[in-house]
Amino acid sequence: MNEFEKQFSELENFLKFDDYLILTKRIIDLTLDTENIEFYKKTNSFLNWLDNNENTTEGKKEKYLAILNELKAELQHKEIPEKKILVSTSRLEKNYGSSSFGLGPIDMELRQGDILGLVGENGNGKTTLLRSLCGELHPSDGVIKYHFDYEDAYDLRTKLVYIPQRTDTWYGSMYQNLQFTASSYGYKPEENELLVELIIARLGLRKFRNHSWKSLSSGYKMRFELARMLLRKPKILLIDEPLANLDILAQQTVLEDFKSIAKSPFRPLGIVLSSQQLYEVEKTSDQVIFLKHGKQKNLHDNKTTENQIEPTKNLIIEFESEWTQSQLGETFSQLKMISLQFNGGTYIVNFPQEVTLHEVMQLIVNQKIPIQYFRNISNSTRRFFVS
Amino acid sequence: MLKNSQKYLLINHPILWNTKVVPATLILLVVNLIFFILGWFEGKLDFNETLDDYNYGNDATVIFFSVLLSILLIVVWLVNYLKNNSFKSFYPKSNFSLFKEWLILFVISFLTTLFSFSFYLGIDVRQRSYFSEAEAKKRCKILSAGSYFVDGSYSNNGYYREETVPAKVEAPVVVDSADNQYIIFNNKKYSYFSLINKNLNSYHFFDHKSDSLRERKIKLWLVTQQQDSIKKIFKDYLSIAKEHNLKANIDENKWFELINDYPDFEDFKLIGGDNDGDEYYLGNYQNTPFDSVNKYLKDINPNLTKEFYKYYVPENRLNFNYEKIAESWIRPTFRMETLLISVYLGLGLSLLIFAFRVTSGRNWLITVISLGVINIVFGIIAAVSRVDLLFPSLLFLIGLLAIIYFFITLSRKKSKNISAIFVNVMLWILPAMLPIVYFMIQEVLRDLAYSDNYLISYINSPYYYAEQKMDEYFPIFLYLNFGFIILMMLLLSFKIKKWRGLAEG
Repeated sequence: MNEFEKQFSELENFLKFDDYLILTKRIIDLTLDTENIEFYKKTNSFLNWLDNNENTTEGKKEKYLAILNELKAELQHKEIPEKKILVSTSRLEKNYGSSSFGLGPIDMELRQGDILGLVGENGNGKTTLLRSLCGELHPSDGVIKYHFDYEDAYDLRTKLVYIPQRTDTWYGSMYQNLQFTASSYGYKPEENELLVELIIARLGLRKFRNHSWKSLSSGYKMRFELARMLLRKPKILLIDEPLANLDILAQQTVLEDFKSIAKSPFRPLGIVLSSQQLYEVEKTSDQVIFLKHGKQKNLHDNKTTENQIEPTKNLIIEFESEWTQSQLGETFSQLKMISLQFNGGTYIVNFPQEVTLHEVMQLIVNQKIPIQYFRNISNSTRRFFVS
Repeated sequence: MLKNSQKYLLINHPILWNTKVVPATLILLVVNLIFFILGWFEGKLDFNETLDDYNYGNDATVIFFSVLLSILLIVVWLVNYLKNNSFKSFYPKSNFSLFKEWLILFVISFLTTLFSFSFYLGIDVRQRSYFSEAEAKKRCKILSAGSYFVDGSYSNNGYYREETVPAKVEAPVVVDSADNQYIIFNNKKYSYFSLINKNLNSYHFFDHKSDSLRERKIKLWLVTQQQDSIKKIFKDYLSIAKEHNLKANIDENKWFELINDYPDFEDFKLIGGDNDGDEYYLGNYQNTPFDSVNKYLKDINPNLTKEFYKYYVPENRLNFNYEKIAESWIRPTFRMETLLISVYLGLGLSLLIFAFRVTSGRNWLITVISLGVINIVFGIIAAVSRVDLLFPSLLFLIGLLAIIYFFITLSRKKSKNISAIFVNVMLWILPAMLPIVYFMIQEVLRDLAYSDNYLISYINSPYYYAEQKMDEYFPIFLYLNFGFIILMMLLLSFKIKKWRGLAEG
């Protein structure tokens, strides 16, 4: 089973459970994968049908099935390219003249289809690293190597899309802006409108296409930036704090979007994103880099480098409880607790490696400790924010 | 239709859409056409008008409104143009893309600076429309010849044409003094105030040489008494006047009779250029009593007395209007030399906008301020040091420095840092660099011409000749410089695209 077939069977499951919302998005992804104007037309008319028959259930499933099968027939023979390295850095450093802050040295590598999460407290070099990778900052030392062809520095930067935390204002109609991007990127006139329609639908922006930038919430602004990014076909997407202004639901959606965009079997791209939403990022990313004072620590990375985070042997748990620190400390000491920290509403407790998660949960149940929230963070960068 | 064409351009030619070149050009062409039409109406000749009634007011109003409208339209267009900047967003661009964009900016800027010229073009075209060039020239020849016989200035063998002398008067003292001056024509001595020494009115069609030849021909006709030829001039002259409903109180025979004081031509009658009359002041000048032979007085009201010629032809009106027609053919306001003003204004404006486009608003402002300060400082240094050509040299050096800095930044392939400011300086000083050199060479030549070796007659120095030639060829040089700027922009737009790719910090 190749990557496409694997993903397709997932879609069949969505259909089975009538999960139409996500299915529609994935159908658009597949349509874009075909790079075939006939499919653009078909999917667009399908989307129009959906708009007009929002509450119809009759025949809906059949329509989905039909379009899925057509897409499958088109795509199952399409060649799936090998996933190549996009960018690698070696001893990358960036200093800002007189300021004491310096980033690096950073050693990293990003492949097609991979998502790299950057986490760390404010002012620890996440944005500097992103800006270095997108060509906005020239390294003070070390090398950034891009493993794809480009003519010159300008051409390279057309292939790297960087979305800063504070994006520039768009002027004029959103729709025209997207059409302008598409035509600037050389899409044929006949596919321009179809493509823009698809991408607008893909990001759930159909209702907002004629809005002005100022009337959009920051979440929708981010989505329009993503829509524009999709039209730009970047090799690498670099995005600073994409989750910062999103509500909890939108965060999940955007991350899911990143995942499906990056992992497209036919048009994979590399994504580097920075965020404070540790757990979400860790869940989505193939690789996480934790930055502290500009220095790098890697999570999930299997390569043995000096930056590798040693998987901790201790069991570290984050939780919320009504009990006081002394009550909790007394109870957890039964399990040879190493430390218990109270950190702005949550507790973080550290046990030696022989203690298992189940023993802790057992203790909580036995002692009837009231728990609102519980998470094993032994393998999360979360623990670096504590000590 | 405009909306559809913009939609078409949006998906087919994004630069054309972004620059809004189609609607902008259309609007600018229409505005230029309106100014042209206004000029067309303004250019209507009123043959009853003379230099005295001419109203200069409209020129200032038109220029004021055209500048105001230019600014307004440029602002409206900029607001639309600056909505999208694909260069700033790193959208893919061909190597020629920036150059094309600049050319579009130039076309729009150029059309914006043309309003006044369109107005004057309208005037020129209207005034040319009265007669073909050949016909106008023919008529001016007749009028010029006729003017010889209308009261006016006297010549001194053609050398002191501007010198005017008081009209011949009864008082013997004036006649005596004039008797001391004489001229020789055709081996005969004539008084300075003889008709043989009269000037004629010139028109733009004719140079000094052709005027002299015409004068000479008339004088020969007079001294050889070719009456028919002279009367023919009068007849043609008066028929032109009649065509424009302008009045004369003499016919060709009377006219001839009045002026033909053969053989000395001293006691001829003065023919007035119009019948408007001048205010008369008693004892206006010493020694210039009232010329009762040629003029009469009339009380217009108790406070105003006017003197009128007894005989008159409408010379003032004809000369005023036909001179306008001649000028519209020979030296129209809208011509290659004056068009340079628009070319360079457009060039300057397009480079200001282009610089804003490829660098940033912040860098643009910093450049404006720093160039302003540098100019003031240079001005002060130049004034204090009193060194010739210091200011243009320094300005040239700044331009050169900016170009060198830009290319060094580009070759180092590191980061742009402050080079955006130098890009702006380079773009703005570049059009002036060759003219600065040209100006400095001219200055040096002038200094050489006036130097000691040629103190006696600088006109004979080869330096003076060269300097005069440079002056003459300056408009052509400016067009060549414009061509040079286009080529440089082609090269620089390639380089600026590469430079844009460099890291910011």
